[in-house]
Amino acid sequence: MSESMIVIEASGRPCPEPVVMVKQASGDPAVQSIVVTVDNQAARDNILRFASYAGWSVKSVQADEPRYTMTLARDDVRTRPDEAKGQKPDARLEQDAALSTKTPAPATPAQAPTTKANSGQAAGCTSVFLASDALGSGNDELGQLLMRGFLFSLKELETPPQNLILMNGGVRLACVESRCIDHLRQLEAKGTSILVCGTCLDFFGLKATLAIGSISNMRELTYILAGSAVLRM
Amino acid sequence: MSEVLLTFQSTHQAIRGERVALALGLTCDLIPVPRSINSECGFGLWLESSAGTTGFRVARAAPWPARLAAGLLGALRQGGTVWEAAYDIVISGEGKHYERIHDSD
Repeated sequence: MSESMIVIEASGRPCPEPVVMVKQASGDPAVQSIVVTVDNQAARDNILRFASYAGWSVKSVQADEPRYTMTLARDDVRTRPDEAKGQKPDARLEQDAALSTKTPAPATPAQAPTTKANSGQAAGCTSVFLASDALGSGNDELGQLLMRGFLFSLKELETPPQNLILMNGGVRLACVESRCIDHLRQLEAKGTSILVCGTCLDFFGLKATLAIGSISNMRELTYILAGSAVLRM
Repeated sequence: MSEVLLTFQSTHQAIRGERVALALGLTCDLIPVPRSINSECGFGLWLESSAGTTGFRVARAAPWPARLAAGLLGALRQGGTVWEAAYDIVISGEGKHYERIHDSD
C-alpha cells in the first residue's frame, strides 16, 4: 500500500457520514487514492457520485453484499472547468441564470460523469429544485396539475436540466403513486439525474415506494445546488 | 396505436375529462396544450388509442379512432363534461403535429 493511499472503513456509519469521510480524505492533496468500504447501496452510490464530480476515478468496486469496497484514484490530468476558465463558481452562476435550450458542447472524457449524477461543478450545469409535489400555492389539485404539466414540458426540452432534485413533498413525484413517473423516466433517459432526498423519503415512509431516481443526502444535494444554475419551482 | 389530444374550454372541464377517461380505464394524461392549438384552457387530455377501448357505442363515423371516440365522448356527454376539439397527434421526423379531426357536438 503506497503512502498516498488512505483506507476508510465506513461500515456501520449512518448516512451521510461515509461520503463525508471520503470527501474529507480527498481534501488532502497528498492523498492519491482512497479505498473505502461501506455496508449499503445508498452509501456506495453517494460515494460513486461524489467521485464523478470531484475529479476521482473509480478504479474498482468490489461487492460482497451488503458490503462494497471501492477504490478511488485522484485524476491528475483532470482540470475543473472553473479553473480552466479562470472563473469563480459564483461568476459562472450569474452567467447561467436560466435554463439553456441550446445544445451543449460534447463533454470531454475528463468532464463526463462516470455515474448517474451530474457534476455540480460542470460548466453550465443546471438543476431544477422541487420541494413540493404541487406547483405554487392556492389549490392543491391545480398545483399538482401544474406540476405534471411542468415536468411534461421539461422533458420536451431539447436540453433538459442535468439534475432534478426532489426534496420534502417533492419526493412524492418519484414514488409509485405519482402521475409523473413517465415524465421522470423520459427525463432520465435524456440524461437528467433525478436525485431524491433520503431523509424526506424516510420521513414520509416512502422509501420502499421509490420508483425512479437515486437516493441522495443534504450534503451532496447542497454541493450540486451550490455549483449549478438552479431553477426552483 | 395512435395518440389523440382532446381540448376543453376550461381547466375544470379538463380535470373532469381526465377523471372520466381514467374511470374508463384509458391510458391518458393531462398535458399542456401546444400554443399552436390556441385552446382557452392550458391543459388537454392526451389519450392513447388502442383496441383495448372496445365495447362502447360508436357515436358517429369519424376518421379518428371511432371506438375510443364513442366510449369516451359518450361518457363525457353523460357526465356533462364539455370538450372542445380532438386532434390527431402525428409524429414525424420534424416533431409532433396536431391535426384537428373532430369538433365538439
